[in-house]
Amino acid sequence: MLPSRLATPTSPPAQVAYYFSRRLCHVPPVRMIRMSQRTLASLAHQLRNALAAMANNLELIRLNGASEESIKAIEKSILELRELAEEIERENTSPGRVPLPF
Amino acid sequence: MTTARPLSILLVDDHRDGADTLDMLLRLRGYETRVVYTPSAALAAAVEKMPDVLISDIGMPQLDGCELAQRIARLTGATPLMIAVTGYSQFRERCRLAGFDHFFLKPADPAEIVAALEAHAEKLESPEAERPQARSAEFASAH
Repeated sequence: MLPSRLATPTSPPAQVAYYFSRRLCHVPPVRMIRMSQRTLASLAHQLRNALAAMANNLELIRLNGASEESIKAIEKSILELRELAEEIERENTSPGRVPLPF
Repeated sequence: MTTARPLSILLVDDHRDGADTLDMLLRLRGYETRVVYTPSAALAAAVEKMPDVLISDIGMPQLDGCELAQRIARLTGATPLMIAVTGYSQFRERCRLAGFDHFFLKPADPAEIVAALEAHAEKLESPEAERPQARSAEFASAH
């Protein structure tokens, strides 16, 4: 299931996070995309790498005293994108598919 | 941080943004960090000065994190606390077998990484600061 809609955030960092999450969520449902298993695994991996930097940046802006609103909006975006990564990974290992050998 | 001497951390990840931001966070917490972006640079850095902690990505070109950890142990004869931070959930068991003490799936909560570091710092401060032999028993994972 794709993530639900977000309220549009107002602070700049939250807007950046929102923009990227919206762009990713507008990709057609993963199920409809014909991709090789390796491509799917790589896509989830790249998404998780970007999310790792985003989570670290979130902690940094939290330490810099960013507003609660910005922090919550970015947290929500991270959660949604993490769910998307999990969905891609589930698709990669769903019944009928052979898991990648790693 | 609880330790008198800051833990020295070697951080390796070919995803620069992730490595740099984690590096910044750990420095802000008072840790002494070195960040490198390739396994070969990590190997050289570990040989030059053995860190207390290795935080390593796993899926890297040329040499993966598991192999890197084993080579560091072979070359230096010592093993730091080893923390795997990877985007591949499939690597969990492999990391455990390679001797990693902790496994974090990206995006890792920085607070959880810091908690693992603090626990290790406390261990180092205790009178019997030897690392336990039964490493697999303390393998911890998040997410």
